[in-house]
Amino acid sequence: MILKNILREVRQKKKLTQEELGDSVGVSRQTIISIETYRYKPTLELAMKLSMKLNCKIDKLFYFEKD
Amino acid sequence: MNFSKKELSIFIEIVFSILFAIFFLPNFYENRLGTYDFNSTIKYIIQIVIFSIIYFSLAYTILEIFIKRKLINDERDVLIDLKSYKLGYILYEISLFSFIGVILSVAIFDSQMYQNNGGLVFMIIVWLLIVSFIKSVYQLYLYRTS
Repeated sequence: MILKNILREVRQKKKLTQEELGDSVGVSRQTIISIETYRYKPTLELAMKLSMKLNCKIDKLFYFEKD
Repeated sequence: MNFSKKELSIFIEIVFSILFAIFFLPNFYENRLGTYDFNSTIKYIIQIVIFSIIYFSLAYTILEIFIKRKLINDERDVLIDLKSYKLGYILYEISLFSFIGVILSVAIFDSQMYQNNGGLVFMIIVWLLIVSFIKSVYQLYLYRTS
């Protein structure tokens, strides 16, 4: 099972840039890019911060997809 | 190719390793067959320190001028640092055991060569340089791919 997310879609709906989102949760723009392209799995703390910032439930923001 | 500030700082370290090998390794290579003169080592150390200070001061000043965004050290950076230092640690361990093996074999089979420590000094410096280079390249690779 692969961990995926809808971070990009939710971020764009909120009209936030990657840098703005990164600054608001304390990570770099590169980290946001890596999360959106599924190359990096965030820690629970970062996932919660993203969920709170984007006002989207964490289990909706991140989901498992079968191989 | 777009590099982040962190990736450029790692690239600066890689370039330093290469420049160190070009400018300072020949000095140690020339003395590899003889007994190393530790009095002249102080002269090399001073040159290396001055070169390092000038190089890193210039490189990071230029980096700060061109990339004004502040460097954030977040969890992804910590993870990549841990992975690259893990590789560096393993390589240092291998180097250490290899070096001990070489010393013992030299001591056992060629006691005269044991007195000519120039080769040992050269070997240590080359190994340290290679390990540092590999660690930095691996760190850059992780930043580009994760």
